[in-house]
Amino acid sequence: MNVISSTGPQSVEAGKWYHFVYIRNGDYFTTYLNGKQDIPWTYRPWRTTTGDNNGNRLGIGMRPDKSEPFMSIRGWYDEAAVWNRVLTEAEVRSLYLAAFPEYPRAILASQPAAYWRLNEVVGDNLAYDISGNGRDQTLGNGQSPNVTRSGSPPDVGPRPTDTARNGARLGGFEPTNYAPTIPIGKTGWTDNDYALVVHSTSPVVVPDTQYTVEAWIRPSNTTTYGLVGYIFHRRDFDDSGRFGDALGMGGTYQAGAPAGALFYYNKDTETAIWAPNPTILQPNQWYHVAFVRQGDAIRLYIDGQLEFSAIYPLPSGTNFDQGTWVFGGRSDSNLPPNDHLKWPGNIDEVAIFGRALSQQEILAHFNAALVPEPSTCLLMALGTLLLFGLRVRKIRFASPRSR
Amino acid sequence: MGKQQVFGCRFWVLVAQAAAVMLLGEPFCVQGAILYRDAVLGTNPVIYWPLDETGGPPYPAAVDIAPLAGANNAAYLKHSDTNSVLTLGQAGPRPTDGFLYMPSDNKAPYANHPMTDQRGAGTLYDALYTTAGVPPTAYTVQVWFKQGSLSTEYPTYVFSRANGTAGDDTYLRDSLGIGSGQYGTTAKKMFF
Repeated sequence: MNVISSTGPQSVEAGKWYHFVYIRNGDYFTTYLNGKQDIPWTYRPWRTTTGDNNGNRLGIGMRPDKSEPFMSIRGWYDEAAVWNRVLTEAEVRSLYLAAFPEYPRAILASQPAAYWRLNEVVGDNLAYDISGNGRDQTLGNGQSPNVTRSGSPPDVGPRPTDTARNGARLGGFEPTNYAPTIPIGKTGWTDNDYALVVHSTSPVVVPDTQYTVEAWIRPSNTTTYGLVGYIFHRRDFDDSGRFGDALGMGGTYQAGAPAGALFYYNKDTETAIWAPNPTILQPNQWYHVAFVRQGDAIRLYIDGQLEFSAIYPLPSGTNFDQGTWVFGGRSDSNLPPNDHLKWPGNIDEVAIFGRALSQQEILAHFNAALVPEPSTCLLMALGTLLLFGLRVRKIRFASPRSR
Repeated sequence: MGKQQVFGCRFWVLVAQAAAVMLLGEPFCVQGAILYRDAVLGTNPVIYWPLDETGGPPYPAAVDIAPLAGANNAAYLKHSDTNSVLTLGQAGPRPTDGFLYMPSDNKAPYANHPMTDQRGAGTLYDALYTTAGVPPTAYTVQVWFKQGSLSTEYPTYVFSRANGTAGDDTYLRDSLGIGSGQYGTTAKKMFF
């Protein structure tokens, strides 16, 4: 075979659905996987040397050039469609996004460097990056006493039955959204001990001073769970360079941020930053958080609103070239005995962007989570029809009397 | 008259509004949603096979729901050997997989065969140019797929177009598969 293989970042794993699109335009073709171009435009003219020359036979999930199915897929295939034109990149991307709830759709539309929905449950050994950049990550076993991913409460993500702080329902998620739970008192540095570990084997390398991290968090306890608990820490695992940016929540550590308040920390200069009048997180409430580094400036947003901003230049040192991150704790080993500073509760919908998002974009992401779920829309539509019908009836009844 | 005052419009309007608020907790729906298949149809495909069929063998036709409904139905085919598998009506991408706007009971065919042979099953449409009018020079194909297991022997194909049938590869044209690490392909990577 004269094969042209993808050189894109995505690999096809078993057990995951992929959205695949093939486009031919004249003598060139390209492919898309999960809304991202996979095989770039490549010169490969249509051969007209044999057969009917018009490609009359189309096989889905198989080759159709034999009298019986040949070299077929070993799995499932679905939603096959054909266009007699060249779809644009925007159209292909829209076709992929159209399957998702509003919140992940909004995140994907902003083209993150990586986006893990963390819907995996026990038995799944990879956290699937749906950004199209192929940054899947290995997971722990998801079973107690490790970080749990049972698929049952409390291991569930934000759902339409949940509300944001403002009382709006989180209809921008699916009713079966899952999330890992970090148990209080968790220690250790393995995949079993964090909500997510971004390894150097599947790195997310973004500019040191231009990036954004977004996630949804739900603390199970905000006061007595431990000294402090971290949402994320960006740092090279080989201890070759700087401590990096870390975002945590105050706990019983008296000299730090108030219990339940989010703070920025950098160990290189022993610097902690939090809001003068911080938002105090409440147990079992979902919050949308976005941390932005833009040059020397850092900003933290909670539910789309600025929590604090500050000038804190990263201490000089080597670049973060390993692309490693942890979510749900810190990755440095110099931690207090018996308290590894783990986040207490859920972390979900983790996205990393290779640029500093604006508050407008962050707020739009948060608002996308508040869209009423489809069943709500359907019920409202039915209710509207009912009301319309009753109005008509009222007019009919009223007409004879008005004569 | 009295009956209307009790059970008339005003009463039912109030009941409906109160019920909506009690049930939904919010009086207005601020944004509608477009279901996945409507989004696809909105781009005017020539053919759209949702592949929701069940049963067989004998297998039913794969029904085309593009506006020219029924014009471009396809056939489910399974290789005649005993090792090849084709099961219709399995779970397709669904809201429980995170794809909220797919049908909640979405179905998909499942094809399989030992990785050491080259057979299997799939869906065939053999009038792509003559009936559907899809030229070989400008067209687009979409497929959602999920591998049950990855082949490390023969590569497997997601979609393929051919000029006819032959005993060798001479009629094969645009064909996209998943590499196995054999026959010039890279494992787990899509190839042409």
